[in-house]
Amino acid sequence: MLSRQRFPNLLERQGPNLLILGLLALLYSPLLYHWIDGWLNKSISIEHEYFSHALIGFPFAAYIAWSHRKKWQRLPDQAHPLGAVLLLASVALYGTGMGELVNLSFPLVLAGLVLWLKGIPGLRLQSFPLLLVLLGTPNSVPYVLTPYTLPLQEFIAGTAGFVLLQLGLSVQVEGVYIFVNNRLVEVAPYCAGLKMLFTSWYVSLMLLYWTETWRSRRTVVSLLAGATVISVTANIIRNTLLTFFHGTGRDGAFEWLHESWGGDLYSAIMLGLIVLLLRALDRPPAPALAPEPTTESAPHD
Amino acid sequence: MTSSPSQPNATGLWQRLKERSTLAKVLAAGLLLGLTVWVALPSYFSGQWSWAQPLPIANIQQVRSLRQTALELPRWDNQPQAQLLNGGAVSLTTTLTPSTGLRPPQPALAIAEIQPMRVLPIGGNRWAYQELAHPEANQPPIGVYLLPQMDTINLPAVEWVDVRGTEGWQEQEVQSLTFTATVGDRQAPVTARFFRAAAARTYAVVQWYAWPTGGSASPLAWFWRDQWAQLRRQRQPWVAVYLKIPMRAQSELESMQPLAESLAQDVQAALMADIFTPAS
Repeated sequence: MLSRQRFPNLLERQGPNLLILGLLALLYSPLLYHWIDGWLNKSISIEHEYFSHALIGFPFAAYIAWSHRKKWQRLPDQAHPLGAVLLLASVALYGTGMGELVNLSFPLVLAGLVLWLKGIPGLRLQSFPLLLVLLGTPNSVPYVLTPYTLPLQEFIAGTAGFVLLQLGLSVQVEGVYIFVNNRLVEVAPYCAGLKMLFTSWYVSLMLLYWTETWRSRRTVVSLLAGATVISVTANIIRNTLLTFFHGTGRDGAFEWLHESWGGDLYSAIMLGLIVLLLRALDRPPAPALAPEPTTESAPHD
Repeated sequence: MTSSPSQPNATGLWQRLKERSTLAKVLAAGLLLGLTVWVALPSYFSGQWSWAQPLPIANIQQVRSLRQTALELPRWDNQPQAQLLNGGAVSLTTTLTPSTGLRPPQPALAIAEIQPMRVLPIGGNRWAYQELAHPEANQPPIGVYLLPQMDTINLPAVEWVDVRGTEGWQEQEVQSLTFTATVGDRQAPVTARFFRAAAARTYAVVQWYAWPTGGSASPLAWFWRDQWAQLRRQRQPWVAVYLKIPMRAQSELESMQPLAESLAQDVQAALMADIFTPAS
């Protein structure tokens, strides 16, 4: 896009843009490196892990934002005052030096710049990448939700206990505790599956955008609802398996599914199911082509 | 203001600055530059970023010491417990009760050591446990359970669920008990959970998370206080407290309230005076 300009002109025209990008890189690359290190090595906190979907979300957001650059340049430059507010807020948050607030300053500075440079039309253009960034920014919301996940934990414990009972194991469920063969499993808040639920929703959003099916409200609602059902069911099954492994003394299998790559594989399969769900939802209905069984075969009872 | 057609290199930068769009970009760049110079560059030079580690807790050693040293409660009689060689433990008063026909007199139990407190596992955490003499005669001792915050990574979450699971009791008449502990000129308001626990015995139970300036049964109340303190570069360490006061099954919970409140105030005050205040 710049090749047709003469080089000195390039610097004059793009100077301010490059300066802003360069400063953003200086300000935020240590922070982003810290986040990525935390996700890959699980070295920060459990709450931080809840946002590891950003590892695929941020590159995707950057890709989408970059693919919009021609439309971005064609937008007229207009500075919306809300952009200034967000920029100043972001600077204030960054200045506190407090982890939570510095994290939050990242999506704010991006949104603020978008509004300050191209106004509301710019925000509309880049709304999806900004949303991906916002939903991937680590914060303490998962911790704040823990008092409210108790009913879900009890439901999971009850269902897992019920299934194991059907399989013939001696099971007793008390609240969030499952006793199997006198071994105890606690369905802790972080076993309630919130992380996988958030990741499922995030990946669903990415899928909806990628396949351009987000325009259909029916598809959006169906996919998010379906992803919720898949995620919660998969989590119940996982907790049931973990209880089964622990109760029957298969500690190696328990370790594999709970801590090691077994859990990651399980999550990947679950996300694969969501992809399949979207393909099923998105299949164009072709009533004229599909044979109607009732017209051809003998009537059933 | 529309952008004026400018000859390349002729009017250059100054002309461009007069375009509003460039001015907007320059202002934004200036803001970010200021931020970089004031906040980011010092961190680059020192290699330390304030958000890279959680803010340390000032007197974490004292908080951790709760697992080794009993809490001093001057108005209450701490009952030492005998740690037995077989790993069990008994309260010394129960071993001294006279034998009944059903229970022959115990000769000296194999006592390893006598200590004012011991550590009990509850729900994956290790709580410090002390016993106090019950003001009412013929009642078992009162249990004081304390779970200190051992590290910045430990956050209060589901301690009350863990306790309920381990004790295996029914929680009845759950209500709020509000009281204020006073240490010197500091006042700390506390909102605790107060209920009647029905198990093999009946207990009046008080539960809350204590921090230097107050307490609450809700972990989120602690969380917001700690976040606010972090803005001032301080922390609010927490200690989970639960008091197990034996009561007669036929008594009303309200009748236990004065005793519960008095003990709870003393525990909170002792925590504030000894644990949360840096040792001078």
